[in-house]
Amino acid sequence: MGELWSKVNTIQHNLSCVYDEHASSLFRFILSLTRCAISTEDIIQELFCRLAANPTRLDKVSNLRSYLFRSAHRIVIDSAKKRSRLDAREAVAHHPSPFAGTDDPDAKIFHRSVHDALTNLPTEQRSVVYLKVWEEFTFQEIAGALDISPNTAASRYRYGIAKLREALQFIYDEIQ
Amino acid sequence: MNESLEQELRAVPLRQIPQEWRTRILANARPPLRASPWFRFLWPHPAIWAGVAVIWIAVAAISFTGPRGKALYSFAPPGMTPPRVSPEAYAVYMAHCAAFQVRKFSPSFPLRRSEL
Repeated sequence: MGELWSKVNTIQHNLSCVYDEHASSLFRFILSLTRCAISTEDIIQELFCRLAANPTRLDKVSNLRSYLFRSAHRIVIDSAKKRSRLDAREAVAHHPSPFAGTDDPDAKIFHRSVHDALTNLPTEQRSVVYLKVWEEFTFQEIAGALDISPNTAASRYRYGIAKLREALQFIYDEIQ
Repeated sequence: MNESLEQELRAVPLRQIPQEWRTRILANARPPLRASPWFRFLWPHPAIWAGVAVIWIAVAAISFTGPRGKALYSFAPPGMTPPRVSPEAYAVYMAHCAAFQVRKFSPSFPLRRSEL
């Protein structure tokens, strides 16, 4: 029994370490997809419950970050299928930002514009752009995380960044 | 411009996960505790599992290799032959049985003549 408890404690300690290292990145990524804080918390909860239920799975994982993002992305897709259209509309209405607030008014306008431009991207492009720009994933890693080919990831990124550039052109010129 | 746009985007500070979520999420994400004492006893001892499986297979094998159906009744183990009884002894035995039957089923009240 003592051995079992020590095993449980080890698993919990490992989960805490994984949480401390990756939870914020996962939070922003999931938030950028769901645009709903409640759903984001539910998905992170689900992800960590799955890890706790089968901790040996992590022993076979070579790239933990990629694995966590892939699992989170799958849970997002599953939960999106379950959710009704009404819920989806409510979620879009809140759309909390994955970006931190700032006191600088110019920066605030820029951040808001980036958030709006990102929100208006299709989900497939948004996830690729987010992972490439803010998480600095390679296309190979993005492909692994989103279950797509690297070429598709690169293509979605090109389209996504072009739309962001178009949406931010005016404000970007002003900043320059 | 793509490079500089990416630089600008990367410079946008990112939000951190709310602090209060940590306790909540990690508290709910507990490894499952096997509640059954049998499970706790047997799980760390695969030899016991294997032993139980071997016993079960042996019982199944014995059960399925013996005679089945009507053959079960005609089956006599080797060395066991039906007892030989002389006709006199058999007659005495039958007389005892008949006397027992009469004693057992004789009514305690007098029967009517039509029933005799």
